[in-house]
Amino acid sequence: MRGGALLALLLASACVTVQPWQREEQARRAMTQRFGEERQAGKYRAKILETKAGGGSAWGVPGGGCGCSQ
Amino acid sequence: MPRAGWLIVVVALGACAHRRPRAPADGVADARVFYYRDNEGLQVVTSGAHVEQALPHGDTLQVSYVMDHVEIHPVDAVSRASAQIGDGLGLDKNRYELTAGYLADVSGARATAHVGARARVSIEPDYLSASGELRYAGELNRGNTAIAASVTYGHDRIDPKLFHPDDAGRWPAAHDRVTATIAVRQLLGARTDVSFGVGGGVQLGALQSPYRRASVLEGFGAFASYHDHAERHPGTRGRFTGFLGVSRYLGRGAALHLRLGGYADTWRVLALTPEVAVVFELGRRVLLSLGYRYYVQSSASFYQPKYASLTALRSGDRRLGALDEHVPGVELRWTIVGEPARAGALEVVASYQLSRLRYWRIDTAVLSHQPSLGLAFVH
Repeated sequence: MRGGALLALLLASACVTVQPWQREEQARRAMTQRFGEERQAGKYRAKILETKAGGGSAWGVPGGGCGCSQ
Repeated sequence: MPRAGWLIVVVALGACAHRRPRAPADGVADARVFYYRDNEGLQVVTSGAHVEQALPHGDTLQVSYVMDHVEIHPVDAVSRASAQIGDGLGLDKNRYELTAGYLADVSGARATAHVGARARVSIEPDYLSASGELRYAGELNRGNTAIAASVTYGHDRIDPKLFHPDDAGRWPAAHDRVTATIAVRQLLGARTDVSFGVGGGVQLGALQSPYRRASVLEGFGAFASYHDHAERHPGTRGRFTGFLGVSRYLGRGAALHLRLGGYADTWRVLALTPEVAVVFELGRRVLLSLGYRYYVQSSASFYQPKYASLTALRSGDRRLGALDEHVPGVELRWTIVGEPARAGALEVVASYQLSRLRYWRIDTAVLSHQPSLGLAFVH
């Protein structure tokens, strides 16, 4: 059900075509540099969550390295 | 910052010193220090360096180095939820991690695409972790749709220096894991995009800790009391993740980012993570981000803070109980030299996060402060 909704969203959104000259606002730093996601910060946040909670990050499947995921 | 980390940054800066300013960027070198401290006496200093360099033909080389220095000096060893073996007086240790990756440009006439591989190794006194990843990133539909996918295999080896007598013969031990993820970002208009993804993986092998203990009631009547026993976790854990996010440019240099993440595993842990961030461009050189994340999780099927009898599966890991976390944060990026994201730019980044995590099953709250400071050079 959830997968179907996602697929429907993808198919619907794929009909939209934003031309390159219309993407000035998509390229703004406020849109591309999101809080705590660049390079080292994103990994660090996932690591902290993995260390403190049993579930871990929804943005990737946790795996060892700190001895904390056992 | 460890010496090797500085070396990577200095080499990257030196190699690119001849480039003209304001040219399109073809790489970045950054160094950052994160600090973590909580009210239970845990202190972690994480210092890292990351270098990314575009090569001829559109290929990209990435190298990262991270060092964690962990200090645990319990402020109240008596009330700590997870019983540990050892003297309980504290622990100091380091972890070193090196990651290297190569992304090859395989773009065709109608779409851009990259395929790559990445290797990672992490070393600490009692733990060795190695993994390899294959990834794909491409754009379709005239750049309106971006797709990223990865498959990772990892092998971890645990070699504790100290363990419970019940565990003789169990250590050293190892576990393996395989994970796969796919994520899509789709433009919905000039000001809006949506992103979503799913992931899945399985871990096999020794998934309990050699150090934690499960508390089990033994004896009868007035003579009954709790005793520590070695953990026994299932030898397999399947994990499934998914997320959905929307970003909207609000005008006047501000953007709103919303995201909802979900997690489920075969130990019956379920988690949800809603997140919101607002990013402001303050002039051309300063970027201010305000964010808030909430995390809520259910308990694993076999987890009990204390066991009424000795069960086949048992755990002393409070992270497998029900918990929630509030994490507000702020980040400031300031381009002190050059133009943002252009060659020759030097950027300072500082952030702070506050976390209040509550373990419901044992009525314990952990308050932590997480500041960071970094420097990035675009070349």
